[in-house]
Amino acid sequence: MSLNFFDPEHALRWLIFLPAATALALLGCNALVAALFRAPGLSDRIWRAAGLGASVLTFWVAAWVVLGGFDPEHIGFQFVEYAPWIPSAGASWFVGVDGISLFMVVLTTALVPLTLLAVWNRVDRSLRSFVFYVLVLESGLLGVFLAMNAALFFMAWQATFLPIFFLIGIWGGSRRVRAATRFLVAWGLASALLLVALLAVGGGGEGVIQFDMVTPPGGSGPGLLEAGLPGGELGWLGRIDQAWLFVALLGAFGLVVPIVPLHGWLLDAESEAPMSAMTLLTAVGLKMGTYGILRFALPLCPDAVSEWSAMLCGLALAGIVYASLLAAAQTDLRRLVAWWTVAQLGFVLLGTFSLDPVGLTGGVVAMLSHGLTSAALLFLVGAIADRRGSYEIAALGGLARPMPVFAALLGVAMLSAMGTPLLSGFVGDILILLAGFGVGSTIGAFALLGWVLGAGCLVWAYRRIALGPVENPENRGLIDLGWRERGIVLTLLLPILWIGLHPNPVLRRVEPSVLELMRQMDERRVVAPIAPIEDAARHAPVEPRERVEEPA
Amino acid sequence: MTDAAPLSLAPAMPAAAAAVGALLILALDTAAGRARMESRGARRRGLVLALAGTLALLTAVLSGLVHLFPGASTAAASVPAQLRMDGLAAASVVIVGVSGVLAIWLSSTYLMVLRLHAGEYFVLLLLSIAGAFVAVAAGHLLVLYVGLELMVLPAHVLAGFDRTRRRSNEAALKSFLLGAFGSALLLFGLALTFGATGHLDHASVRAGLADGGALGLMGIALVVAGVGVKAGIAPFHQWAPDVDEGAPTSVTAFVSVCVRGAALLVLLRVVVDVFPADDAVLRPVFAGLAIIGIAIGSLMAMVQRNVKRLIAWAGIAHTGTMLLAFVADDAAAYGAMLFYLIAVSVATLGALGMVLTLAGGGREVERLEDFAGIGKARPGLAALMTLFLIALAGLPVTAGFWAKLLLLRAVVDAGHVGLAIVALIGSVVALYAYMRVPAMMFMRDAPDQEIAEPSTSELAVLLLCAVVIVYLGVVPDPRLPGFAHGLLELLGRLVVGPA
Repeated sequence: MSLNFFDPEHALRWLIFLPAATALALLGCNALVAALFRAPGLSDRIWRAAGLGASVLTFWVAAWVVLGGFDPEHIGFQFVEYAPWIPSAGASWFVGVDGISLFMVVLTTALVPLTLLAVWNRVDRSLRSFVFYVLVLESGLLGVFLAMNAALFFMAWQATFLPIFFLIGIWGGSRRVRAATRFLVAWGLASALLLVALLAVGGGGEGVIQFDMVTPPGGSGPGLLEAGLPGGELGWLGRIDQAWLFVALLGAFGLVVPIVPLHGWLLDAESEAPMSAMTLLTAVGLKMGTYGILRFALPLCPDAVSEWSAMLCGLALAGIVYASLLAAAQTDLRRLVAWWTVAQLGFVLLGTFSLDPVGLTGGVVAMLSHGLTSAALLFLVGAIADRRGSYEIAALGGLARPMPVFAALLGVAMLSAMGTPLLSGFVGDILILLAGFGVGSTIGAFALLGWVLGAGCLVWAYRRIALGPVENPENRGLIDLGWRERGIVLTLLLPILWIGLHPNPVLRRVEPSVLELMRQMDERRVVAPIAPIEDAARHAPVEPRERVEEPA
Repeated sequence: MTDAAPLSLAPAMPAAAAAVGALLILALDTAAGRARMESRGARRRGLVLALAGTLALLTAVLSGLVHLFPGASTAAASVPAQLRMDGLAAASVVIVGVSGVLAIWLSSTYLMVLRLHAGEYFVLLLLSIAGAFVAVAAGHLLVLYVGLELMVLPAHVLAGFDRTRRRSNEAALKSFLLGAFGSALLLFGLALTFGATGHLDHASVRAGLADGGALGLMGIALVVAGVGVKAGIAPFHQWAPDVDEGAPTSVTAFVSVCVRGAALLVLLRVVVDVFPADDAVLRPVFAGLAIIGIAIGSLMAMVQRNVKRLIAWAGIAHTGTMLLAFVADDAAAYGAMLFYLIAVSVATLGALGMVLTLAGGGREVERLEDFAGIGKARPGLAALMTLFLIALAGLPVTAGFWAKLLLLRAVVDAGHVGLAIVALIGSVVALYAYMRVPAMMFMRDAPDQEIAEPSTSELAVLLLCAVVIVYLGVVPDPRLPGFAHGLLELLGRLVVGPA
């Protein structure tokens, strides 16, 4: 299809503004209609159709323009847009996409239309504001993944708060207000820590305000991620400063991931949130944390991370094992998915903190895979809840008989969730495991243990849900998935299968960015680089190149 | 310096305009005779009086505005150095004057609802603003004192304006007693300062203080405390929540934005004019005051069940945050402080304006429970209220977001990371406090309740506030026509002069 009606170079601004602009336009039209015709505003049908249309268009821009136009060989950011905005605050309109953010963007844009489809006529109150919040949330999430300026990043980060707050608080379960408030406080705390860290590092001293992450085209000064380069004027932080900075960043992003001691809010949110909000929050929202660690914590604190690498891997492992064990003990499907999510994101962190390009690549793939898999699982859980009105595992059993399609699809999703070969879950997990064994055999062994535990608990859960005789009479007459539900889940399972069978297109796009990230870390290191990075350099020599190239 | 400046009446213009406006309203009101409440005549009379007040204040704002433009004689001084119209004074006049106009238009319908007499109300309001204009332009501590007193005395009366209600009476009494306490502190400080330096005009006091001496420092500290009482700076804040709760909501809006905002600007004037350069004794005190204000303000806001009190307590935290600019003490910090003041003033006017808009049919909507279900009954108003509250909480895309970011950035750049952390933790607590209102409006249902239709003037003020908040949230640094710099740099230059 021709793209001539707009310049593909500006695809990212369309991505970020299209959903929010649609939401605002709908709100404006709604108010106008209400004022002019004394009608109650635009009908639900228009809102739903416009929301779906905008989100599909956004996905189309992301898939065809960004994914199609993305050059895997290119190092650094692509589709870069830069315009000064508020120099005195260091803020600029600076967006770009690289291999790490690319798949997060595609995932986000894919899940929003699916979510809107999934709740098509199941929003029991105020569909209009539901569509509004979902679209605003999409813009915020895309802003987080695409921002190349720390102030812009922070702004987008905070812009996601209110939509999620309202989605949980308005459409959630009986204790929704408490869950929404806990969410808000946790994320507010995270943003406070993040802002302190960014302000401390972005000041640059002597009035130099630098929030751009790399040197913008036509801009000046080394970027936030480049200060301390051989050609840069600024030295890098000492190790003590880095340690503090890292603690702040880890706290900020760790609250959002969430890393295990900080996970309380997630369980509340997942038990109370409506399935739609829960899908977006689990599949994409939490990735803001892991993405933030990759984008900020690693390159800003290379010494702190590598010095504490083993400890951080241990933290991730403790989270994996703890969450896997608790997942086995859950009686509620949503909490099962929540704990599995905590464990799976522990894997992502393990890969990240192994500081091995293999592990980092595996982490990015695992983020993508978890997004797809958790969304599929949650849609299926939602389908069951629609029929049974309950999330209790004990109330189910033998569903393979009345609902064979459901059982089959749930089986595939769970297989991917437990990291079975030929499915996307395997690709990320095996790379992370390899990296784990690379760091130390103990860490590798515990990671393997966590993997086996997680798989076991999922198998057990599947047995309790789908296999065996139908004992509960209420389960006998259940209707199998309809075409809409099948379509949604299949849309998610196909890429899972495709990535599992043929991961190269993904890996090929992620790897150069991961190596670039390692180079950024390496170049600003105060102490000597640790071994794995030297190995990496040997395996995949990185030629000297320009830091940011003009988009072709 | 003072004798060389040409004599000019320009610095007295804003105050004179406001005072003349007050007299004009008094005359108009008397000439019109008595009118029955709720009659069309009373409504029309309220409108005319509000227009007269607006006219007076806009004249004052204009007379300040001309001094802001480049090339204007920014140091025009009247009766040697007692009143000066420099950049800061002009900016203060504009800020206070414009928020005064907004406060007038928020009051006009509400007074009718409460069956209160508009004439006296507007007279008192304008007199109070005239006092504020004197205080912010003062170049002499005694003039400053007179201005402050002229500002707060009508405010005490206004707090008790709804004289049949006990809470309003209580508010007036508290406001008066604690205000008198503040005046006593201020006067005592003046006496000590005069004793130590032999002068009371800002420039000489500054020179005298630079020589050192505990007596002078103590005097100035007491002056700061006295002004701090009027500005609601913790720990001199106790009157603020009680008065804000008890006073009629339009008075709450006026007192918390115009009166306390002007007092804070007066404090800024004292710090900039009088504090010795590179002073290492008084500035650290502001760090302590800021921490106390942020801690007490946000923690107390968290547990309030009354929205007016909630906004008052959180406002104390905002005032504490703004004090951080005194610790950072550079152009960026002062510019950010003024921006913060503007953002918070507009948002507070909006939020309190919404509280008084929702009150109708004789029923106050001010307890948290009263807000339940408003999101369903009046989605537009609830969305506006949410916008004002997220602006106060500092979320994007509002002016409050940039205010917080810019101020804290200046604080961190000055090397005070710890203070920024305190402010940010406070802002998380305040975020929770503020969001309880939208949570109540949108997430809880309530049986159908009667909610008043907003009047045109109220709606206009609320929409104006919303537009300003969103505009400054998207373009926080607009290039104003006729100025060489963006707004932020301009604000910074107004306080510390061109770099």
